Amino acid sequence: MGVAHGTGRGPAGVAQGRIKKMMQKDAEVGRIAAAVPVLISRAVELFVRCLLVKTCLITQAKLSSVVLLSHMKQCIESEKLFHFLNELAESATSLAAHRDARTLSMWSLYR
Amino acid sequence: MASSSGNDDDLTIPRAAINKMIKETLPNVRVANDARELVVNCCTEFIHLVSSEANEICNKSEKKTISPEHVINALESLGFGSYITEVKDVLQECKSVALKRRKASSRLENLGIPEEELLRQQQELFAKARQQQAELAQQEWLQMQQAAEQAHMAATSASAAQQAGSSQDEDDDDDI
Repeated sequence: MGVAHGTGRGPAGVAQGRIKKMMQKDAEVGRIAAAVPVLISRAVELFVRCLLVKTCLITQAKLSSVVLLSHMKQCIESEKLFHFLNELAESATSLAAHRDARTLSMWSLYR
Repeated sequence: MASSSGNDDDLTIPRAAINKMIKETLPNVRVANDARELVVNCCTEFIHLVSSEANEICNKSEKKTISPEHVINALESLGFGSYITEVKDVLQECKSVALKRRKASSRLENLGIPEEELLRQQQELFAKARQQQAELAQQEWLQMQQAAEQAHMAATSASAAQQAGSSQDEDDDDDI
């Protein structure tokens, strides 16, 4: 089957070349059919949409006007489909907490 | 952001693409910066997850190239079966674009003329060209010959005129 650069008009369509590179970072991955990065770019769009919508429900439940990192973490933990993201969410929030703690302690120096 | 920044180890979906997806999915909703950053990294995880699974399926199928079919099956087995309908639509698009491109390039190559006819036309053109070259060569040869003859004649009459020079003058005087 031929190459398919013409398709992929969604927001992630621009990243098709990069997606192929990302896939090939895995040493186990060999040859990839030309249409595969196009399909995966579409799948990524659907995944992001799903993640955002579910996170936003939590944001609304908490009566927040801003979607926060903590909402996203909670979404990831509550959704079985997203459990592959647990570690990522964990390190992201602990990093944020660490950064906040540092900022607070630095503030106290200037008071 | 420099487009050539970083080495291959920092590969992610571009931030701009993520921002666009956020804007399209949640218009008029503010999303914290660190949440956006997490989305970027989640995409990377997702790509590696699907990639790995597709690769495993590919290995089991004894094929060497990861095919669209492998990707679709990977999505199913990972629990993302709800994405399959739209992903299959994209696959259809890919196939029809590829088909159009192949048709267009073969149309351009042949202009509708079958190969034997093209060959015959080519032979005709070559024969014509050879003939023209031959005629041209012959003309040049004739011209050379003529030029050589004229030169010879001119040389001969010049030397004859020199020999008979004095007697010719007396006669002329008498006539007058």
